[in-house]
Amino acid sequence: MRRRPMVRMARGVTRLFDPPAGARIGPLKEGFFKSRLHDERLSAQLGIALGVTFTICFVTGLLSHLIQYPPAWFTWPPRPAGLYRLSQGVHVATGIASIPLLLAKLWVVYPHFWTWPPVRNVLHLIERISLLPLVGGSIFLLFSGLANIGLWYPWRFFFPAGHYSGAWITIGALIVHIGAKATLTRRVLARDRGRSEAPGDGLSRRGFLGVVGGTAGLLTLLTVGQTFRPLNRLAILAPRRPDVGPQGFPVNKSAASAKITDDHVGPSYRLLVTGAVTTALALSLDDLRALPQHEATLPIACVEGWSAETSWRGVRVAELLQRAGAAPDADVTVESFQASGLYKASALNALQARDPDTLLALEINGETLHIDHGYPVRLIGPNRPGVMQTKWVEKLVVS
Amino acid sequence: MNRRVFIVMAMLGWGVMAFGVLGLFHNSARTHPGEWVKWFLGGALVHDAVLAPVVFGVALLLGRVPRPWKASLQGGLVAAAVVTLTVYPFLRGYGRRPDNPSVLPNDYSSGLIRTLAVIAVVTAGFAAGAWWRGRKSGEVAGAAAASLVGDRRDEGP
Repeated sequence: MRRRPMVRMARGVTRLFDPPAGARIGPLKEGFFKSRLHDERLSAQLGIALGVTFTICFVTGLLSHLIQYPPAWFTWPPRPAGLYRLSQGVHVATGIASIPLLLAKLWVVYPHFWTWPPVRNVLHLIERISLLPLVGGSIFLLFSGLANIGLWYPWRFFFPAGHYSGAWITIGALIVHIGAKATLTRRVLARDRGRSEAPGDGLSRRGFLGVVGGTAGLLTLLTVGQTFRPLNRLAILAPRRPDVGPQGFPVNKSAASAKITDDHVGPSYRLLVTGAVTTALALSLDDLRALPQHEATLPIACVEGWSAETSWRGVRVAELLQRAGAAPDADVTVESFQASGLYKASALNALQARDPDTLLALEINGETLHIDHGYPVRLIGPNRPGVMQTKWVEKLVVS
Repeated sequence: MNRRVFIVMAMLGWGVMAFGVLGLFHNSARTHPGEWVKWFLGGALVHDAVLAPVVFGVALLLGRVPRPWKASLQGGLVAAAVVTLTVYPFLRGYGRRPDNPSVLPNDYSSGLIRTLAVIAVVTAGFAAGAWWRGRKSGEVAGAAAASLVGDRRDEGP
């Protein structure tokens, strides 16, 4: 008696796999989609391209996450100085280039949405259910990433956290999809090598691939100059220009939005070095200028994918730590005057804090820092995300 | 599908997805799962219910375009639509803020128009090429001509 509901459910599932033929109408009918571009080979090629671009985005994105929220086992070195700039530039550029690839792929495979019967067996059901996080997640990642590089936040979640969770879910769904399609993809690509075009008077398969690749290339060419300086003049569609902003480079958070006032950065300003030190320091701007000055040419490399290289001048963090008597392997937290927020403070691990190019900068290109670039004092170090180059520095806390 | 490969990959993939979902809820103060899921699934819904039908509608309209130009026109429209869609948030200036003029500093309408003009010129070039080759090969009209063109007339979506 108690098994009856199970039996009924099993019957329901069987019926799911064998739906009445009369339900097969409209796009569910065989041959409803006539374009020769709804093609297995195109689908395989675009799928491989997306597999590559999404993997690049996932790995570079994960790296950026680890750098900003380092677990105990992860130490991000200060060298090579431009590695983060490269990795994050690639993350954003690859994401932008994926937009035409994804839209093309979705269009090529769209008839499968109406496949008949909708589910053939349990494995097929699992495969199809996994497509929802795959398609939803892919669109979500590219859309939210694109909005974020234009500083547009139409949602209520915190972008990095939402994008990060979305990335894991999408990559998981991609793994399921690769499991479902790997054999077919290999077979289709081997079988159809050199196959002639199917008849038709619209775009051919090869023509379509050319258009998709060309569009991806065009979008890259017109945006990548935001980080790749030689193409700056072409960056007419980029959300940033590396040479536009106060003192010739962009700003992410202005002093006004960080609520910086004269109380913080006026003549009463003192830089504090505190925590695990033998001598706590409180240095005025004149005290800082009297210390040995060091010059370094380093990029600001923003998580949003733009970057700009500038010449900085200021006091070495290592010098201050030595004067305060900090232990040689001490980590440092750099705190800002900026109003509360996740980026109010940033961490310098021991390697970063001792790097000779890690500075508390007072000048950019020989000029006093603009208030939007962090006057009176900002942190600048090699191989760090822009959000961790803390501005309006209030104190160094040694631990 | 290779059943064994699929089962292994499905277990692995669903494990990775579960990790993502756990993180989502673990970090719910920042991810706002209820809001997040609307955006996560909303994209698929907008694509399947709005974007895809619009594309198929346009494809049907293109069925009437004479054959030497059809492939080029399709290609040009695809490129133009994708570029416009990508630039749209910048064009509307959603992220602009009065205290920071270095955000979205370009004139995106002018940039988009110039880009579309380039796409139009390339499209016209391909169309002219297809037409010229079609003329040369007479009645076979472009069948062998461009790799862009084939020889069936009853193309739907």
